[in-house]
Amino acid sequence: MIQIDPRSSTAIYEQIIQQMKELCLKGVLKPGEKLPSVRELSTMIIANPNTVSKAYKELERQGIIETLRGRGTYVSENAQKTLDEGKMEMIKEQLKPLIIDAVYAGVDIEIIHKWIEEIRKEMRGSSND
Amino acid sequence: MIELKNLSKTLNGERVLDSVSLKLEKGEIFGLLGRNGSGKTTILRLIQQIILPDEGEVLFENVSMMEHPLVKRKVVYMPVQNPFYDRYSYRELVKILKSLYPDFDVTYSNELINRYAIPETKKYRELSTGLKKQFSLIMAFAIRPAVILLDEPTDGIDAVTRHDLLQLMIDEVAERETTIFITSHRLEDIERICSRIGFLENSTLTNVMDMDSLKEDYIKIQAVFEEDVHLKIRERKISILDYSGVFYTLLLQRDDVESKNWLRSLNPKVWNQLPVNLEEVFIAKFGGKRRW
Repeated sequence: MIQIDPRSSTAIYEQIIQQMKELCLKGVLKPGEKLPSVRELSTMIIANPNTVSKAYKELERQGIIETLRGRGTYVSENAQKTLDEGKMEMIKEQLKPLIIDAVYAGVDIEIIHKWIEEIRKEMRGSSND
Repeated sequence: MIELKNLSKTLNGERVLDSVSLKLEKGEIFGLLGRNGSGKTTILRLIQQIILPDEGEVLFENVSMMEHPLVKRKVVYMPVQNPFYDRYSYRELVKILKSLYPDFDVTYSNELINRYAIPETKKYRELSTGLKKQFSLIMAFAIRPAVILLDEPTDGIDAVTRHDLLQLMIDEVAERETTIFITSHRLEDIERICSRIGFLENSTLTNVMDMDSLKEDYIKIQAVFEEDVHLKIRERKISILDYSGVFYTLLLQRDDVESKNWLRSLNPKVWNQLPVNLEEVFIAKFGGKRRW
């Protein structure tokens, strides 16, 4: 479910947070769904339990997950709303390499704008059908 | 849980450790890093009182381990090689360890020996390197210690076995809050499982820090300089991780504004600030002393 890259320059607890959010965004984890316990997840991904616990606390603080005493940790019911900002950021990040590629390939930014407009029209067209 | 107080040790006329102090908490995994021969194993041997310090002492829950040798039952050391085990099979060894360590958990060790398909009647010395490590680790955990000292537990074994061993360690810490003190040259393992690390360098323990803050405390700078600034950078004692031609990768402490401003004053054509990983810090710390 979660893949940790210890060689990455991103701290492991950050990696857990990012990937948990991503799983929620993609709908792999749905509101109300039960998450593995700190012990289970740390064994699964081989990370220090304190690190996993730190990530869970931060996700809880951001309102994405919630811990019900004695029952475990769940994806929060209102997680979706909190995630929209995150989603925007994610899309921006995904767009970045594409635009860099385009510029290096000699595509003018104006043309990219035109393409965006075209795609938007296509989408409108199909939604009218 | 366990505390090293001003440990010093001279071996064969060489000062191996000079006033090393460290306190380990319950449920903590501490990674000790250093070059070969820097004295990592000596520290482990001192904690387990296999050798005694010239100065200083080791306290286990505020009790001196030298004055109260029985607390050693709660502190287990897993050396790189374990000649004491050599002549025995698993079944024989369980009997011996059970008499030495009253808390030895046979149910637990049987289960794991089964799970990893370790032959119960084969002598330890007849096992493969990977199985030996697994075997020793299972024995160490089955003793039900409060502190485990592991000397390079994951070095020299295949990826599957390594995965199992790391999982075993994590499980142990999560389940029983065992304190683990580990030395390894496998930095990615250290990075995965440790909550804190320290570097052993010139007989002293330096840069004891949280694993998470490592990535926050250091930054990597990628810069391109038009002029030849190599000597100048070296003179400023700024760590060069890598360079080819005009392209430099440098390591700085995040709060080292002075060096950063100085580098900026060299008018770099390209300037990228990036996060670091443990391997880069290790190379920057110890690689500088290589003789080219």
